[in-house]
Amino acid sequence: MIRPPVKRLLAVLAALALAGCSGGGSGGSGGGENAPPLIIHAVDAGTFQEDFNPYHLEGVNFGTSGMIHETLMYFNKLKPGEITPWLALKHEWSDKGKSVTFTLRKGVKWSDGKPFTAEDVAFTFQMLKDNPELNRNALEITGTEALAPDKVRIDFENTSYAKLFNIAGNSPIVPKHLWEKQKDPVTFTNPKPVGTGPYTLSKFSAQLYEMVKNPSYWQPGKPEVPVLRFPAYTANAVQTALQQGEVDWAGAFVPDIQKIYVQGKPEQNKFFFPPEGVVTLLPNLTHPILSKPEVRQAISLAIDRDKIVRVAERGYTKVAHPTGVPMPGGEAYVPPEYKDAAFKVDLAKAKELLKGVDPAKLKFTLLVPSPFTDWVNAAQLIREDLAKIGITVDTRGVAFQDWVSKVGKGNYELSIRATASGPTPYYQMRSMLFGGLAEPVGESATGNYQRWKDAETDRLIEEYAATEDEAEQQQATQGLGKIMVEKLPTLPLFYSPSWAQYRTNKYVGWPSEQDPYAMPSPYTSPDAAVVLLHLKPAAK
Amino acid sequence: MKIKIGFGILVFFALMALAGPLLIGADPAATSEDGLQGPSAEHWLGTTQTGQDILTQIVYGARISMGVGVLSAVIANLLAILVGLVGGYFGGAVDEVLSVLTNIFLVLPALPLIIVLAGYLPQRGVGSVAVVIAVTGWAWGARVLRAQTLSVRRRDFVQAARASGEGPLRIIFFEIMPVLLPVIATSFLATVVAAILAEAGLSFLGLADLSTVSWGSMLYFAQNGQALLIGAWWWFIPPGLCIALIGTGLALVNFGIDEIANPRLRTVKVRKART
Amino acid sequence: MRFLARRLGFYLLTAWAAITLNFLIPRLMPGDPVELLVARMKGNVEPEAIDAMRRAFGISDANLWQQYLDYLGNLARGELGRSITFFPTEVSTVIADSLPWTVGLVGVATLISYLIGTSLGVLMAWKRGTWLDGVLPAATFMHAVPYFWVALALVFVFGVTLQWFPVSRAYGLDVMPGMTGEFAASVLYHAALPAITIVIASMADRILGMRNVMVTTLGEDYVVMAEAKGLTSRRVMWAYAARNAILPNITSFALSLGFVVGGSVLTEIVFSYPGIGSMLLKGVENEDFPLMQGIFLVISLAVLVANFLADLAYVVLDPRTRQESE
Repeated sequence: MIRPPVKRLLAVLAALALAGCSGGGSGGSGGGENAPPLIIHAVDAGTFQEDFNPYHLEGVNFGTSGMIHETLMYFNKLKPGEITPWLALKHEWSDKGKSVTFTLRKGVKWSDGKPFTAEDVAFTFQMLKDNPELNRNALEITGTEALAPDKVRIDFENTSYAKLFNIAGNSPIVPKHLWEKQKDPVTFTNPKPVGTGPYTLSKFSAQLYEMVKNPSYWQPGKPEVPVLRFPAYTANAVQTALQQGEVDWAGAFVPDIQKIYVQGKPEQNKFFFPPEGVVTLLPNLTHPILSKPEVRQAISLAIDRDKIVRVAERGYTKVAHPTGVPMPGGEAYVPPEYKDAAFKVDLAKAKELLKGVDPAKLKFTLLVPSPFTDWVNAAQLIREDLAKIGITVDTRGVAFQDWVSKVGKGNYELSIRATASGPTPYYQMRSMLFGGLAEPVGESATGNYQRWKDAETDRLIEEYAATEDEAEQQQATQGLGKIMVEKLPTLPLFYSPSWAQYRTNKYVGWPSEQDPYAMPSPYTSPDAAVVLLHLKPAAK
Repeated sequence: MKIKIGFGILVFFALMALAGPLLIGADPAATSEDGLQGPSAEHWLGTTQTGQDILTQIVYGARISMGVGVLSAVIANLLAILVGLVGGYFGGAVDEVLSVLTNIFLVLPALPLIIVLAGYLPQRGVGSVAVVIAVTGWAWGARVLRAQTLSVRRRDFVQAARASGEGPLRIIFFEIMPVLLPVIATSFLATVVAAILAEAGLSFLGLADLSTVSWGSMLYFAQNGQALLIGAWWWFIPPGLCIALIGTGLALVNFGIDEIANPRLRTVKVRKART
Repeated sequence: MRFLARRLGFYLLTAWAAITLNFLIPRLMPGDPVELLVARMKGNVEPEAIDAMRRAFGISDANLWQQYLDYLGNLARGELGRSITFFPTEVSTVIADSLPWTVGLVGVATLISYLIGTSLGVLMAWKRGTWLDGVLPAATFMHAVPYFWVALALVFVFGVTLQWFPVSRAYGLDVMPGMTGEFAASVLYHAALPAITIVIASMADRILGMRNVMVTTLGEDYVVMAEAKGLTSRRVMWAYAARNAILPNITSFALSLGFVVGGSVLTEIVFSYPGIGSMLLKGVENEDFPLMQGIFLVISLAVLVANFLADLAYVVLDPRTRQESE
C-alpha cells in the first residue's frame, strides 16, 4: 500500500512541471496534452449541425458561447448579485440607465492572434441592433460607440438597468474583423469560429465534435483540460452511456441515479442539482372558481409537496420556498418576515376555506405535457391530495405542442409550469406575475400564464427596473415575494433542478453545494466554461 | 388446434379486460410509497417507480389497449370495405377517384398524420386515438379488398345476379361481400394488431394521452424510468409481452380462418351452389 | 404502354395530393414553432424577441393560399427552405445528412429481412409438416411484438449486460467520419444492434405473408399440374409457385417502405441513430414546418416511386394485369 502516496507525489511533481511549462510559454503544447479528454453531454441530440453562431438558438452547438465566444461579465445564478468581470473590467451607467460604458480588459487576443478591442464589442451590439432576428435578449439598442481601444458605450431607448445581465452576461462578443465580411449574420453559421475563449474548435462531424485548449488564452495557465469531446446522445442513449462510464460530465435527468450512475461510488460519481427556477401549479385566474383566493389557498394547503418531491421528483429537488425564490442563494430577496416560512399540509383548514363554495363546482382539469413524466406523476399525486378535500381533478396528458399552445392562450383550468430564475429572482417574478404579459384568453402569452393582474405587483416590477441600486432592487423583489405568499397568484411546488452529473476520476474542482461558484450543468452558458476553468487533473 | 390456442389467448385477455377491473377494483394510477418492488405476494407483478401496482395497470390497460385495437379495426375495416368494394365493383371513374384516395393515404407518413389529428381532437381518450389510427390505417385493407373484388365481380354468380336485375349495392353487400368475408376477417384481425402496436408506439414516443393507463403508456413510463437499466424487468416485460401475446392469439385465429376457409375453396363451393 | 402512361398520370395526381397534404398538415397542428422554442429555451430568450424570431424563421402571416403558392413555387425551384429547429441550416442539408444513414441502415436491414423472410416463407409453405412448422409460432409472436420493445430488450441483453455491441450512435467516440477502414468498421459495428432489431421485427411479416400466399398458390391447378408432370420439386417450388406468389409480396414491400420509415423512427430514437426518422420526430416535436414538409415529401415520393416500380414489375411478371386494367 505504498503506491498511492507515491503516485500522488508523482502527480504533484508532474503538475509542478506542467505549471513550469506553461509559465515558460512553450507554445501552449505543454504537459497538458497528457491529461485525458473530457467527454461532455450537454443537450440531447441525435446529430449536430455545423453551426457555431452564438446568436442562433437551438441550431447552435453547445460550447459556442462561453468556451469560444465570451461575454463581458459573468453572473453567477447560484449567488444572485455575484458578478465577475470577464472581458469587461467594469461598467458605468449614465443618462438614467439609458447608456452604459464598459472598460475592457487589455491584452486579450482572438484565437487567430488579432487583438480584442472596443471595436469588436461595438460591432457585436450594432449587429444586434441591425438584425433584430439575432437579438434574442430584446435589447433596445439605439447606438454603439468605441470611445477608446478599451472603452465602449452602448445606448438604449429606455432605462435598462434590469437588462445588465442580458447585455453583459448573455451577449457573447464576436470578432469584427471576420464577421464584418459576412453579408448576412442571421444565416451565417460561423463554421470556423474564432473567439477569445479558452477553447477552439478542432474537429466537427455530425455525431461528434471536439474542442482543444486555446494556447493564447488570457487567463494564464488555463484551462487545464486540454481536449473536450461532445458526442451526440439522445435522452435515452445517454442513460446507458452514463451507466457504462462513457461520459464524464452530463446534464441529464436520470430516473434512478443511485443505480444507474452512482453505482456505489459516491466519492467518484457525483451529482449536484441546484435550483434553476421554480415549478408552480398554475390556476387559471380567469376561471370563476379558481379566481377566488380562498380556493387557491385551500388547494395549496391540501397538496403534500414533500410527497411530490419524494415520489414524483425522486428526491432530486426540494420543496419550493412559499415565495418561489430559489434557496439557498436568494435569501436577500425574500421578505424577512417569511424567511423561515414553509408549506404545510392542513386538510382541516383547507376544507374550512372551501365551505362557501358550491362543491359541485370544485371540478378542474389539470393539463400536463405528457413527455414530462415527473409532472405527470406529480399531477397524479395532486389529484389524490385534492380528492381529500372534495376537489375532483381530472389529469390530462397532452402533447408538448398542445400544452404550450393551450397554456399560452389560457385555455386550461389548472396546469404545471416551470419558470426560469435568471440571474436574480426578479427575472422569475416578472415572468410569473407582470401584468403586461397577461394577454386576454385566446391570445398567446409569453409569461404570466395564469393571468395575474395587480397594480401593486406591476408597481414593484417597475420599481426594480428603474434602479441600479442593489438594496432597492432587493426590496422590490421582497415585495413581490410577499404577494406570492399572501395572494397565491400561482402556487409554488418545487424547484426545477439544473441537472449535472460529473465524475471526479479525471478532473476535480467541480461546483458543489459547499462551493456553488457556477451553475454545474454542462448546458448552461457561459457557466460551463467557468466550470472548465476551475477544473484540475485528479491526483492519481 | 391453432385456432383453439388463438381463441384461448383472446378469451383470456377479453375476460381480463371485461371482468378484471371488477375483481381488482383499485385505481390503476394510484401511487404508494412502495416504489420499485419486485413481484411479491402483495404485488404479484411488482410496482412501478411511483409505487403503482403493475398487475392492476396491466388489467386496466387491457381495456384501453384492446379497446383502441378493436375500435380502430372496426372503423378502419368499415372504411376499407366501403372504398374497396365500391371501387372494385364499379370500376371506371369511381374506382379511379377512390384509388387515388387510397393511394394518398398509403403514401402519407402515418405517424405525423396521427399526431396532427390527435392534437385536434378535443378529448384524447380511447375513442379519439382509435379514430385517428383508423383514419390512417384503412387504406391497405381497401387496396386488398379492391383487388379481390376485381376478380370476384367477373365470376359467374355475380354476372348472374346482375343479369337477374339485382341492384349494385345489393350485389356488393349480399353477393360479393360474403365471398370476401375471410379476407375481411383476416384484414380485421391484422388491423387490430396494427392498431394495438400503433397505440403502443404513439405512447412510447410520448404522443398519446399518458394520463390514461394503457400498455403503451406503461411501456413509456417504464422506459422513462429506465426500468431495464435499473433491473426492474417486471415493469418493462409484462406490457410488451401482453401486446405480443394478443397479437399472437389474433394471428393464430387468422391462420385458423385461412386454413378452414381458404377463399379458393369457398368460391368453389359457392359456384357449385349457384350453378 | 398505355397502361403505364395511365399509371404515371395516376401517380402524378397522387403526388400532387400528397404534396398538398404535406403542406396542410403541419399548419393544422396546434401551437406555433416560436412559442415552442421559447418554452424549450427556458428563459434563455426574452419574450419580446419573439416577433423578430418569427421573421428570421420565415414564418409568414400571409394567407394560406399565398403560402401554398409560395410553397409550390419554391418546390419547383427545388428549395425546401430553412429548418427552424436547426436554423439556419437548409432543410435539404438536414435531409441530405440524415437520409444516407436511414437508407443504409433501414434499407439494408429491410432487404435482408425481406430476402430471409421470403425464402423462409416459401420453404415453410413447401415443407409443411416438417420441423419448419416450429418457426411459425415464433414468427407469429415476433410479428406482434412492438418494435421498440425488441430494440430495448436487445440493448439490455447484448449491449448493457453482455456488452457485445455498442448501444447508441452511428460510430464510435474515437473515430472521425472519412473514407477510412477504421470508420467503416465502427459504422458497421454500431449498426449491428439496430439492424438486428429491424430484421427481427420485420422478418416475421414477410415469413407469414409469403407462407400464406404460397400455401394458396400451391393449391393452384398449374402447380398441381407441374407436380404431376414430374418436375423436380425445387423447380416447381421456385419457378412455378414462388414466382407467382411473390407478386403480392413485391407490392407489399413497395408499400411497406412508408411503414419502414415509421418504424425506423422508433429504432432510431432508441439507438440515437442520426437518420431521417429521428429528424422527423424532431421536426414534429418542434413544429418545424419546413423540416416536416421536406421529410414528408421525400418519404411520400420514395413510396410513390417504389410503387411505380412495383407496377412495372407486375407488368413484366404477370401479363394478366395489363388486360385487367384496360
